[in-house]
Amino acid sequence: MSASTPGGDAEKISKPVPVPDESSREFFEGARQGRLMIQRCLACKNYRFLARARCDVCRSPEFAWEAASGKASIVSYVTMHQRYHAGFFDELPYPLAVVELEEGPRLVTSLVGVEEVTLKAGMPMKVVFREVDEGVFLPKFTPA
Amino acid sequence: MNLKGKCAIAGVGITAMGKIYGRSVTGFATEAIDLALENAGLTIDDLDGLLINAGLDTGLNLSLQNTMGLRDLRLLNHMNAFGSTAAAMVQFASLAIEAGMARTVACVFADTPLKEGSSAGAAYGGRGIANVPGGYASLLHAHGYFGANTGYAFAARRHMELYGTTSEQFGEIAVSSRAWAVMNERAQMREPITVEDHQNSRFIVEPLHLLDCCLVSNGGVAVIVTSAEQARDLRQQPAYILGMGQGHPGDALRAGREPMVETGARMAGETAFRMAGIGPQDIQACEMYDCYTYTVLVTLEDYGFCKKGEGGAFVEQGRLGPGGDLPVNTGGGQLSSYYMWGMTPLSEAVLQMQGNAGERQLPDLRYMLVTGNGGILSYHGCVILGSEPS
Repeated sequence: MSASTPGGDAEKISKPVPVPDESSREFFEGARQGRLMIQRCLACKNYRFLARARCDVCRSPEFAWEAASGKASIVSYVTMHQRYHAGFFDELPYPLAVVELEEGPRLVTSLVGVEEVTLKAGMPMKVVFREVDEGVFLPKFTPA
Repeated sequence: MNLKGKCAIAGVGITAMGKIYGRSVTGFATEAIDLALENAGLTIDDLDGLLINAGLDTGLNLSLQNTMGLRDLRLLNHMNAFGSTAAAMVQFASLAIEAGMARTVACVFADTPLKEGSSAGAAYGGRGIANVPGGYASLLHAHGYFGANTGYAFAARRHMELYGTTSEQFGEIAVSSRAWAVMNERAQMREPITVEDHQNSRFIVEPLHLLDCCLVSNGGVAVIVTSAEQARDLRQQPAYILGMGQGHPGDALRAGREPMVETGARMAGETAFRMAGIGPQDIQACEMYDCYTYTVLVTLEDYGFCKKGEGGAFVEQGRLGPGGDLPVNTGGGQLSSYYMWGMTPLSEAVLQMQGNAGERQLPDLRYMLVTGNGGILSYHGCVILGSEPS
């Protein structure tokens, strides 16, 4: 979390910036290059997200990172009203969704371009990438 | 090893609950155990086992043994599967007692998440914000996802989208719980509410209103587990342990599953009902983990009280409330009485089985189901209690 600069009138709390770690480095590096990276089991070919050491279908430890198509559909959606983090206060209320990628895995995402849209389970979505800090990109979803 | 009726809960202790400030978590835990022993007609010298479940306050840990002056325990553990832990502690205690490892085991939960001058919401919602993790967890925060409220809101919405469940139906659960809490002197919220009040309460994470969400409490609860044989000769009517089970479905984002609407409760129920030799139709009342109204609805479905997707209609017309067909959370639950993780439902079940539930006492109780749920519908445990060992 980036802290605000103490004192100044223009004080503005930043949103939390994602911090890559060992198991998510490929994901964040892919996002920087405009690709949504997920893992694929080399034995049974199932896709997965989040990253895991083993496939939970066939238990194989062998996997590769692949770029997902970016096509997805809404599984569920909510509207955040509660004040949790000052970096988001001026956007409240804002929507979030769980989307299911064409490849199968689900992920939680913020949304772009949905101000005039009535969200619905099954709605087709596609990935877009937004720079949230210098060199740090976040995959988000927008109606396809 | 068939555990049906081999062990029982012989006592329960509940401290003052809610905005109780200036007391340590070990103070609450110690008082809860003392009260439970007193309730059972036992003394601290009778204890040879101690199982501990801490909430947010990590001051509660294995050192409770020394704080309480307990020597030469034959069973000691600090357990955590979040909201399913209370059931898991009773299960572990029963297994150990039947295996001859211990004779009389105290299971305790205590927590002090409420701090004077800070909001209840800050206790849980703020937890993850102060310590931003790396990797994928940091991704959630970057998107603006915070706290358990968001995960349960996603689950509730999924149920609404799949089955047409309505917010008013969630409201029915809140109303029933509050109607029970009116009769519980320990409950933090005792003003009756209506579905309209529920609808008018502010959104936390839409579709969840404030009145869909549980309370936050300071306090402690303990139960005493012992053999059915010993329990029979003690002060209270024993709550015999007839069945128990767990279910932990795993990765919630896995492809091809519906973890938001199909929970570990189903697996836990199958195991517990098989052990007890009964089914949901035999259960007269339930004490269910109700961190949110939706949790009750989906749990009722997964135990087979109604079909998947029919929970919304099932809870209408006060079915779960006083005078309803299936009393649920007869002390007001976590929504209206107090939030002690899995000890909220367990403590009320023991009071009911003992006949100590006062104005809200249910008549002629033979079987009760007690459920615990942790994470975002990730971990589940249950016990079936009975008035007779068979």
